[in-house]
This record gives sequence, C-alpha cells and structure tokens, in this order.
Amino acid sequence: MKGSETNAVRSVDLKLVLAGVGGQGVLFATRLLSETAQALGLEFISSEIHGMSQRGGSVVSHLKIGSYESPLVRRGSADVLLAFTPDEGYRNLSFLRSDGDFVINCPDLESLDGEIRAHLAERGVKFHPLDADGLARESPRVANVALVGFAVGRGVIALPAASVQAALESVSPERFRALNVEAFQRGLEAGENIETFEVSKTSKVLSFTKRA
Amino acid sequence: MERQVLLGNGAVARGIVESGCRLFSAYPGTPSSEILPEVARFKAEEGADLWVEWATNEKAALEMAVAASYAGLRAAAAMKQVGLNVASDPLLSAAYLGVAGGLVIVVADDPGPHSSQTEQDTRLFAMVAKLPVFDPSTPREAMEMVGEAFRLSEEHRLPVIVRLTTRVCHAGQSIPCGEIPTFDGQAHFQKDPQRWAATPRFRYILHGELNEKLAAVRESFESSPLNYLSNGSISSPPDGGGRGGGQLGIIAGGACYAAVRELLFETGLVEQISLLKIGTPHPLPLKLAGDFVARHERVLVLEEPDFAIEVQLSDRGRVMGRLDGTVPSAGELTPEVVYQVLADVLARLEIAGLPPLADSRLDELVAGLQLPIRKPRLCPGCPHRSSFFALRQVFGSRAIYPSDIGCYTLGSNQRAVDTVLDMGAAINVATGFYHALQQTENPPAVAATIGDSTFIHSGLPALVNAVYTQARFVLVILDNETTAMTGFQPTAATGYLSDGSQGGRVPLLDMVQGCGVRFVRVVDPYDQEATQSAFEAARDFASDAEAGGVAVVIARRPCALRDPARVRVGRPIIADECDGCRYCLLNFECPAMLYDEVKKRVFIDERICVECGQCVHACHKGFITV
Repeated sequence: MKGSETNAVRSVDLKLVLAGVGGQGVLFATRLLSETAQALGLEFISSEIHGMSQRGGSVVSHLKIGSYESPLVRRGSADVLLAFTPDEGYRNLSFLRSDGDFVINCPDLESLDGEIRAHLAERGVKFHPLDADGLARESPRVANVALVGFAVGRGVIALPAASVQAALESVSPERFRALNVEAFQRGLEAGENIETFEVSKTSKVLSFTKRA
Repeated sequence: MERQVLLGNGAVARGIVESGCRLFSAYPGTPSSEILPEVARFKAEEGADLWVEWATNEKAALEMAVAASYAGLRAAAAMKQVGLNVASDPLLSAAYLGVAGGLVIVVADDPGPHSSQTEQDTRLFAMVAKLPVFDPSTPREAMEMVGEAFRLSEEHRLPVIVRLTTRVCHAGQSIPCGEIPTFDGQAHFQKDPQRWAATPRFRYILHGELNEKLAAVRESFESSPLNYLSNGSISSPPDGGGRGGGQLGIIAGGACYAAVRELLFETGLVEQISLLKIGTPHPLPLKLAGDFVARHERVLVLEEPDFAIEVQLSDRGRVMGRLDGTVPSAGELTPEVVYQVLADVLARLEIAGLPPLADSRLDELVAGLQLPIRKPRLCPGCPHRSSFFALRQVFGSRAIYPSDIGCYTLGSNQRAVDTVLDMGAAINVATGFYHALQQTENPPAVAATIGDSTFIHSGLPALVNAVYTQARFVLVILDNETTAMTGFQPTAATGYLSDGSQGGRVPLLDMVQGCGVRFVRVVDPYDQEATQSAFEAARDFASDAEAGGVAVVIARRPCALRDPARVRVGRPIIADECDGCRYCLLNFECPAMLYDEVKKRVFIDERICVECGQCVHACHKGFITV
C-alpha cells in the first residue's frame, strides 16, 4: 500500500500559480506545498517576487512540482490557478492552460464575470469556487489554508491530504497551528463533498452534477 | 543528507557556510537581502564558525572580506548589482592584488528590473574587472557554484564573482544540506607590501599577472562540467555528451537557460536544436563556444540582462542575440519572451512553427474588467506619509524635492519627491541644485529627504560636502529605525546586529552634529504640528542670508509594520459633510482612503486601516476626526 502510494506520488507533475494580495498568505501557501513535496521526495521549484509590494499589493508565486529547472510557469501552461481573490485570479488567468483548474475564493460561481466564465468553459477550464473567507470567518488569516485544503480535497492538487496536513503542522507557527489545521480540514472536507461545477462546452449553460 | 526548502539566497548562504567561509558581510538590497540572514541562521542553529555582520555599505562589506582573505581565510561579500557600483573601487583593485584565502563576491542582478534603478549586467562588470564569474540557473546550482568559486579563487589567487539573478535568488528548491566544516586553521596576515600596498609601477606587473591568471582560468573553463551540451532527458542529470550540430544551436546561461531547456523538451524541438549551457560566462571558454558556433548554421544566444556571452564570441556572423536585435535589448527573458524569440527564429529559419502563446480573446475580456492597478504606495500608518504631508504643507509646489532609495521613494505619490538617482544622492543633488540655482534670481527652496539606512550608507560624506561648500537647504532624515524596504535589517544608528544583539551604536544626531550642521531638530512625524513647525524653522535657518546653512530635521518614528502596537490611535470618522473634494486623496494618499463614486465622498477601507489617526490632518476642512 505504502509502496503504491509512493509510486503514485512520484508521478506528480503539476504547475501551479498562486495569486492574491499582500497579507493573504500566498507565500505561506507556496511554502506549505513546497514542504509537502519535499517530504514526499518530489522535485519542485518555486518562484516568488519580493520588493516593492506592500499591504494590499498583488502577490504571485509559481510552483512547479516535477523535474523542472525554471521556476516560472509560462503563460497558458499552468495546470492550476489558485486565486485568493477574484481580481488577482482574473489578473493571472492567462497563465492557466486549456482544461486547467481554476480554484477561486469567491462567494459563488455566479459572482464571477459571465463572459470570462463562458470563454474559459469553451477552453475546457474547470471551476472550483469556494467561499474561503466565509469558511474561515472567525479568522480571515487562514482562508489561504482553507483554499489549499479545498484544492487538495477536489483532487486538483494531487498530493495526499495527510502529507499536506503534516507539512502544515510543521511550518505553522505554534500559535496558528490549531487554527490552520482546522481551516485546512474544513477546506478539505468542502472539496471532497461539494457539488461539481461543470460548464457544458456546447450549451454554455451552467449545470450542477453531484460528484459520483 | 538533510534537505531544506531554501530560496536561492538560502542555498547561496548554505554554500558559503559549507565552504568554510570565515567572514561574511553584506549590505541589503533586493534581490540579495536574504543571503546574510540565512548565513546568520546557520551560524545560530548549526554553529557555523564565522564572523557574519551587515556592513554600512557594499564597499565596506567587500573591503572587510578582502582583509579577511589577506589574513588567509575564506571570505565573501554579497550585494545587489547596483551595490557592486559602490564596491567597484575595491573590486577592481583587488583583482590586481589577488587573494590569500578564497574571496567570493556574490552579486544579484535584477533583469526586469523588479526593484532596482538599472538592469546592469554584473557579468560585464566582471569583464571590466577581469575577473571570473559563475552564472547559476537554479538555487541548487548556485550553492554548488559558491563552492567552486572558493576553490577557483584559491587555485588562481584572484577574487571570483558568483552572479545571481532575481529568478535564482527568489526561487525555492529542496537543497541537500551537508556538514558545516569546523575551523582548524589560523588567521595570519603575511606581510608583503609590494603586493598588498603595490605602487603604480608594480601595478603594471600585477596587471600582467592578472591577465595570465585569467588565461589559465579560461583554459580550465574549457573543460569545466559547468559548461555542457544539454540534450539529455529533462528528468535526468545533464551530461556532457550528445550531439551539437545542425541548422540551429542555442547558447544560454542563467535563469533563461532553464526556461529554454524546458521549452525545447516540451515541444520536442530538442531533437533538432542543440543547447549549450554556459555556467562560466567570463572568461568565456572560447574553444568550446567557438566549436559550437562553427558546427551550426545559425546560433541563438539567450542571456540576461545584457550580452556578455554574445560579445565575447569572436565570429558573430551566424550569431543571433541581443546585439543583432533578435532578442529584445531590455527587460527580463521570461518564459514568454523566450517562447516568442524562439518562435520568431524558427519561423525565420523555416525550421518549425510554434502556436501563438496568448489567448487574445481572454486578454481582451480581462482588460475589459478594468482591474484596479495596484501601484506601489506607502503602507497605511507609514510615518513617512506624515513627513511628506508636512513637507508639502511647508514648502509647497515650487520647492525642489531631491530624494533617495528606499520605501520613501513613494513620496512621489504625494508630489514630494522630484529626483531619485542612486544611494545617498539626495544630499549631493540638493547641494548641486543649491549651487546651480543660486546663479538665478529668486531660486526655489530645496528640501531633500533620505532614509536612516541610506544616510549611513553614503549620505554622510555628502553631508560633509554640503556643509563644506556652504550649501543651504533643508534635509529631512526619515528615520524609521530600520532598513524597511529590504526587510528590516538593522542599522548603525540603533546599533543592533544581525542576531538581534546590541553592537556599537552611532546615533544619527551625533553623526549630523559631527558633520558640522548647526541646525538639527528631532521630531515625531505623527505630531503634525510640531513637524511642520520644525520644517518652518529649518527653512528659515537655511534661507538666512547671514548665518544660514544646511538644516537637518530627523523625523523619527518606527516603521508601522515593525512596531504596529505604537500606531493605533482610533478609528477615523469621516463626517457626512465630506464634499468629495479629494484633497486628502491627493495630498495624504493613504491606501485605506477610498473614493465612493456613487456617494461622491471619501470613505475608509476598514480592512486595511491601521487606525493611526494621521488622516485627521489630511482634511483641511476638518471633516475627518478620530
């Protein structure tokens, strides 16, 4: 069992773009997934931009799990776009490949721009909305971890949940540990149970199907 | 072997301590700033046996490292690319004099630029200095190259540069962390005045020696494993074998090597196009690179930020790169730019076609959303904002505002920054403006701003120059008691060291008075009234026809991010009478103050407001209260 799980993990090849604003924990989420990959013995390379960012400024990081040497995801090639706000999601949409997964912190799918939704659906992009702010209402600081948990629960970030949680416990500062783990589990649970949103490519009409 | 997730800067730090470096110093600057804190961490956590400390500037950092090398120890200094300009004087001289212990200079370039005033290329600097330079593509390679650099430095007895770029500095990777060696040698300075204090006559001889050393280094680079033909599987370690010949070859180094390598494998073009990776761009292994060029009909050179490899190729007839316009002559070679350059070259040579990269419809739709442009702004609660507000109130629009490098460059948003040249320039520029404008009728006042760390970095000699030449202007030292922009590195003014302990303290007030300034006031910028009256008094002193001179006001309050507990005063309330005149938005420019287009009035974004209460001064109609 353990062997087969390791083999499954070894085959992970995933390009992620994480986008949000300063203070939302974009870099923490990147660090969390990097530590998870390292613990699983996976190769990875990430990129973050420091410097003239400030509270409320855009923060973007790229993470490539697999045998990569360039830390940057090229436009049109990200498997997953993890957006901590809709605006930063839109701003980085060009990174997402056709058939990619758009995980987004927003009240609901309807709150997203209709034309963009339809256009992406035509390209086969799958939407994974989560009201992470609502889910982490007591502490908005952990919405990032909830969104990561959600993406893991959806199977979009194909890393074992237990490994991500173990990494979370080791990278969280003591005083946020319990809060982070709780948020992660709530996100994970939401991801595992939520209805799947699929946009029919032909009709361009939103249809909701229960996950099998 | 234990593995750690480290940034490129952390990997470099690991390379430094694992190489047995005994003295390491740096001055902070993006993207190099995390190197020293990581070295200090390895010292604290694993007992790395070395002296590590911030220097007041890059020249000081390098000169200390040079001395440690003279004493037979391995030593290193780190800085950003423009920091090397400051350290260039010792660098070029040290190249002639050579080293005793290994001497490595780590320099971080910033193609883009993301947070620098130039896109200058340290590899070209290495050519001017006649020094070897390593150019890693990834954090892991950066760590290995630091070790190589120390070995090379000792073998050929000359300083060696390791050139990083932003995409290496701030890339994260899993780094194998080995043993940190213990020190069993002794520091000993072997006196040799003919070398270490050489006069010009001997410098000529030393120049010849340097040329010989460089030729030997070039020869060793011809067979260095850091330069190789890269056509193995993307997941297998690079090997030196393989082809190399055909219609198109690519020579690449640094971060863009990794980008083009991935692209060749992804598109399958790796079967047709061979790729020569250059890890040692200077001195360029001319036989290796020349053979590669000779075996291809055309050769594309991809490098950042300028053209160090391309310019060293002796036969450029079939070479395409930055010099012939194939590659854009400015800006970063992101994967998108690399893709476009390659697509254009493949189309021109009729080798293959690459599909268009952009989804132009999506770009259009996103542009249609008119997403807010998040321009850099001072943080809510920033004491600099209050200083700039007071400065504009007192000096108005006619005064000239020279400023400097740091967060406070963003005082431009409040129209209180007119010039930003280089570190420490504000004071010399103010002095120059004064002497230049004195030659006209009714010259405008000059009010300069500089941060505490920048003042210590290179403002001190400038202040001496201002006093000496009897310039008359107002200088505001924006003292937030830290180097905020690069991540809160301590300064000599507070005297804290990199490990948080107390070192020697050189108070700003003592420095200013010691320079012979006769008017100095210290104010808290949160006390708007006192700050404005200090600026008025400074203006009056500076403009006094008889006794006037440079007047200095030290506006002191800790960075709001650093000391948030001292910020909170109360929640600001905007009265219903607010008529939406936008005076506060224009002059106070706080990100927490927004304009409601429907109600035509200003409101507070409570999610980011830190309740500093400073905006009460921003409404001249008195509609904001706390």
